[in-house]
Amino acid sequence: MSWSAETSDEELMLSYRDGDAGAFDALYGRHKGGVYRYLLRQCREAAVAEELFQDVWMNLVRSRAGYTVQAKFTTYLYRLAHNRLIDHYRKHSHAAVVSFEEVGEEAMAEVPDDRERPADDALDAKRQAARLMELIALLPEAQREAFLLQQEGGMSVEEIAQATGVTRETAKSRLRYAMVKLRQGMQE
Amino acid sequence: MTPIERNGSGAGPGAERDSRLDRAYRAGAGEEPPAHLDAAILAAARREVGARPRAISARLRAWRVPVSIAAVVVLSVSVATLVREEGGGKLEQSDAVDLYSKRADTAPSAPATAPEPAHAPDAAKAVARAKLPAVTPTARESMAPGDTASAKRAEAASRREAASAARSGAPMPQPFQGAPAAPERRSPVLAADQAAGAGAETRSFGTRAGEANAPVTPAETAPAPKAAARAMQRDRAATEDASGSVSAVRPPAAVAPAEKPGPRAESRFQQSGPGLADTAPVTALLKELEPQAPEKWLEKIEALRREGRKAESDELLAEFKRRFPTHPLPPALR
Repeated sequence: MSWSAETSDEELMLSYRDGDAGAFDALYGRHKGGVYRYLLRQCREAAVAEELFQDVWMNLVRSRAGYTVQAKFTTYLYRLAHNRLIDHYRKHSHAAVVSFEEVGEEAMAEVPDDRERPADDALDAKRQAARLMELIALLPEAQREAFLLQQEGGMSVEEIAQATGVTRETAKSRLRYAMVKLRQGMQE
Repeated sequence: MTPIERNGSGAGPGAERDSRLDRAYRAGAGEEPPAHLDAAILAAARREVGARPRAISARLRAWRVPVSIAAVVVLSVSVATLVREEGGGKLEQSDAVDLYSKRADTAPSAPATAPEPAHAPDAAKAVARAKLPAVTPTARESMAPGDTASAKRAEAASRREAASAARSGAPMPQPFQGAPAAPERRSPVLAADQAAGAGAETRSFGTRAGEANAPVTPAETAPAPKAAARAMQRDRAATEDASGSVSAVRPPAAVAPAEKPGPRAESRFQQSGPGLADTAPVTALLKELEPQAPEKWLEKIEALRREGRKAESDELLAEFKRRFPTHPLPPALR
């Protein structure tokens, strides 16, 4: 069966749950890049990212029988990715887990809100992209994750909160903090 | 357009996006998982779906057509076989009657190798079988030399008889399933037992070679003759009052198991030995009737009945049924 672009992720996943392997192909095609980049930016090693990436999708495959639509599929998928990433951090280093701890709202006050500052058009897109990637890598994991979930998963603050298992306010502050830092970095 | 845009999902001020950051990110985010990883994951996903047990209804649906075809084939073959067997059985019966008539005319001295008629009911058969002790090879070896020699002679005679019957085109006598290894030493009681036990097991005369060993169905089994019942009573009495008498109680070594195949037993009236004195008149009658056609037998039996010699007539009738199992009986003798 061929799946159109209008078919939602949830419908595809339900079809796959009911035994349609073609639905999984469509679903994988839609989200493989986002999940891979999310993991790659978080762990920064391609080999590790590939291992985690495979684990995430295999977890999805194994858990398909119990799948029910309780949230957006992307939230469900990135929740799996987030959990796998946390497991990886716990296994290999405590530092990252520590950095996932809450960022106080007071930190937000220290970051100037420069959203009204005009963009620097002198930098071409490629250089801007390279610079942005450097800045993203410098972000704390929690903030970086919030930003990546927004960019790769197209998630709202609520969905980021669901995927990462934190409150909406926490997710919001993480995201805002990340964006402020990135904007600052891009201005430099 | 301002650098900050709402995502339109109503998520509030925290959901703002920076278009410049978005563009920059899109420009630099082109990494994709390697192709081998794609292939591995997709294959695993398909395997998982394939390995999943399907619903019972789906499985039944898949088997519906093959099962239907198999059922039709089995039914057709069964019906065809039944029809052919029933038709063949009728033909066979009439052929057998003709054959007997011809044999009686052309070869009156030919030994009647008729099988045991299927007269014994299942209960009598079971009792008879239960009374037959199983004879091991050791028991057979322990027979007296004379017994062994006579058994061998009987086997040889049986083989010669079979060979001559085959040469003459007559139906082959079938191996007697429950035949004893040394039939010469049997007592009449034992002979009656074995006739009752083995008669229901074999059906050979007038049948084709391939069907000779077909089991006798209950429908083919006729009511028990009185001879079998009498034989059982005699056997019981002999066992009770013999108290170790070898002549009264059948020797275990001389008896083959009912299941043991062996040469076909001769008619009990053709045997000699102790305990056969009471059958002397019948034996004489048998000698007289042996070369005769079945019709003569029936006439003699009816004559005996008219004379009031019921026991002899019954014995003779039982022997007649043994020799000519397919010959129709007059209503008075049925």
